[in-house]
Amino acid sequence: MRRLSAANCPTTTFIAYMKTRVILSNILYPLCTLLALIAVWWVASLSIGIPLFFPTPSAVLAELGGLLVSDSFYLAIGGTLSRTIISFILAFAIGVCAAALAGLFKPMHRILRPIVVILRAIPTMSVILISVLWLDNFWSPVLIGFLIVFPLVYTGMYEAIGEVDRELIEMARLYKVSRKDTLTKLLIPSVTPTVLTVAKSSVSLNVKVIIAAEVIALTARSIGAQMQLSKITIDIPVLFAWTVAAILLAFLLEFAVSLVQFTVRRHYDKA
Amino acid sequence: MKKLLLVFMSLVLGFTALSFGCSSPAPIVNVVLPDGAPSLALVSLFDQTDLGGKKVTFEIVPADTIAQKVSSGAADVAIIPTNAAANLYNKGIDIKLAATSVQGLLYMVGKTAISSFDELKGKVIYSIGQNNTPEFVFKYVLTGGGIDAADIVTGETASDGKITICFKSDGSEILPLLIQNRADYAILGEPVATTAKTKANLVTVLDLQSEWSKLNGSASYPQACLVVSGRLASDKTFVNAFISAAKQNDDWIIDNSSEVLAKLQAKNSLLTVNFTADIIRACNIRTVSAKDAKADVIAYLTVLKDYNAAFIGGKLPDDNFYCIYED
Amino acid sequence: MIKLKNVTKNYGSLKVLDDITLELEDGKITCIIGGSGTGKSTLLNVLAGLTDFEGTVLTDNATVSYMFQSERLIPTLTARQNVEFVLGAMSPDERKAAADAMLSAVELTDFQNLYPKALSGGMKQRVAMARAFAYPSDVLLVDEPFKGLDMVLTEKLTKLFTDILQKDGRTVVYVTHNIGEAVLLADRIIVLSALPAKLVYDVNIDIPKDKRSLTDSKLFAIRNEIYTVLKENATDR
Repeated sequence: MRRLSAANCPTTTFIAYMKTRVILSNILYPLCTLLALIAVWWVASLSIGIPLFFPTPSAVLAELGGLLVSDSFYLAIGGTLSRTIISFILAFAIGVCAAALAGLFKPMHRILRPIVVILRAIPTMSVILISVLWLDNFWSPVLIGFLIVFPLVYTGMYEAIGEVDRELIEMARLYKVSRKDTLTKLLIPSVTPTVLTVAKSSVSLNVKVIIAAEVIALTARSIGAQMQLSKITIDIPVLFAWTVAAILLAFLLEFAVSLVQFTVRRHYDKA
Repeated sequence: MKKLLLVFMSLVLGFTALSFGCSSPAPIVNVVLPDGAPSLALVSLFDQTDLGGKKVTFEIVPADTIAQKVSSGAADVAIIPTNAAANLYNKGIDIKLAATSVQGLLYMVGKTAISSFDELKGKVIYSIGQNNTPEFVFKYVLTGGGIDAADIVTGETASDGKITICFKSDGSEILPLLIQNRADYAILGEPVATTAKTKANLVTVLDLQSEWSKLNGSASYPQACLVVSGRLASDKTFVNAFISAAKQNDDWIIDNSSEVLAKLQAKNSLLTVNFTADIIRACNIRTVSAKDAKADVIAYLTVLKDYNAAFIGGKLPDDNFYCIYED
Repeated sequence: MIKLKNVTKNYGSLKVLDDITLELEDGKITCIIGGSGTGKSTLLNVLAGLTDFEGTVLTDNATVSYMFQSERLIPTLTARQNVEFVLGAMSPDERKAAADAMLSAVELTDFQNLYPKALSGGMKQRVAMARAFAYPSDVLLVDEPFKGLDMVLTEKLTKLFTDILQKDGRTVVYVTHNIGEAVLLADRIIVLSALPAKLVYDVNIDIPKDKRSLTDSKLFAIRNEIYTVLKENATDR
């Protein structure tokens, strides 16, 4: 009879196997998809045959390298990032508070809901074109970001509140638990997962619309302005490189939210 | 089901093969124009199907797409901003400048005329064209007129002792500001400049074309030009015929100003401006052959290069850029 | 003393409780038996003040604990934190002592830092039990807490319950459909008919709890009576 040591214990082998699978699915598969997409891009670029207007991945990579060593790159990223963070925090804070109030007072929801529906439906470009006429070129993109993200946060949070277990609320009421405790120990942990999910999906949307607004508003020190400039000087590979940079920025922000999600989950899973 | 698919596939393949197999009887020269005032440069030619021994078609496209059309070869002849022409040439696109067409159409409008540039200090001048011809031409005019470059700033609020330029993406964003009296001065292109003067009761404060001329000796700066593909450039007959027709157009549009808009819209222009003879004159549409325009073009590109070399593709284009025939 | 007078509860057009008049003695365990869906939980909810009703309930401002059918534990809090959740009115020291005492009474001291996710059904009800007892209430309402648990576990948990209760002495209203459980546990048994629920049987049991056994003839008789009453008053639900 074979002795069970840690090395050939079925359990440890299984754990090792599961770890490999996790690594595989989290890194290898996305990597393969990414490589496939780059391959398609390369083929498309070569077959269209106008490298000036549809550059190859390698040309774009070269431009991106050039950007990374220029000051204007970091200024632009910094500018766009700061506007994104400001508008995201505003949209998030106001969205969460509004939804909390709406959860408590029905009339509030009745007032806010049509507003939110309209905001969701308004074409982004209209809002950009209108706000550019009235706000300066720093706050215009911030407003756009806010108007696009606020409805998402409000709706997500409101629905999360609705999904809080009624029975638990009843229990808290019966046991005369203080409002503060009900809020901090029951309601907030209950809505946090949904709210974080909403945050994750809306943060890259936020970046995206802010950049679009920056192009029209001609915001100084912004990714949008740099994109516009590269278009004027017909440096399309640079435009592509900025696009890649914008995508990476969005990924970074989503990752930041994921870290928050991870920390929150781990906090509740320690058993 | 399988049979149906087979029949369908063979039909599709058949048609594709046919379209490749059949070559067009004679190559057509595609003339492409950007939607906007520069398209006035060839309006009277729109109805022609033959010119200089070749078949021609005319097409108006959104101004943003013109560079791409020239680069891809979809346009054999095009009216395009001169800086873009130089830029593409420097980037290796096979085109030549056959003539200049728009000799500048930028104007500063405002409530009252000024007697010196110093009166603009402490004010905000709204303008289109950041990082583009309007910005560079205006700055050139100011510095040439004695204003220190350090006193010209970009921003949104006025600053003592400085001339602040506030850029907007489009004339349509500046117009409301002028009408509401939130803007004192604005640099606009025609025909928006005339519209602004009418709607907001303003006057022309500066004619940037003549200001340029005062500094430079050139008649003006050739804002837009006529380019032809490298291949077409070798057809001297065609190019000369085209340029003569364009020269005739310069007068035609002023004499027949009332017909201009209809002709443009027939080619899918999105313009709705009521082009009067005055507006058209202010657009400075004047065709000058490459031989005669070369010096002015070089002067213009040199000024642009000083502000942002990337704007013209890094350097002045070499002599091959100019489509000049040894007579 | 808790008094109910002419309590009626309607859910829309459905009458659930029909003119219930009842007096509950302090310090006694009253068991409420009825078939499934006969308004037993509704009666508890009326006593807890969780639902509106017609009629009068006089409670002298008695505070109420409740052991619900589904344990109703907050998933993002540990067992201990769930118990302490309802003790917010106490000082931190009192709270700690009360939680320690009750967790120990339900034998969950070793598991107090686990989350409900990691606890079995029986353990979760024990946490709910600790919570209900730790809370300084005058009345404890219990709604079929061991439904769905196996017989052995139910017996064990019921014993745990009665042990704690013995030292405690608060008024208990205990809803169950298990007649055997009721006769062993209760000072008084009330039977509700099918909807609309009326009081159809009421018996006091004077035999001391530690002397009770299901083989006892008197208890046996009561059990049969209750069974008969239930059958007579059942719906075909």
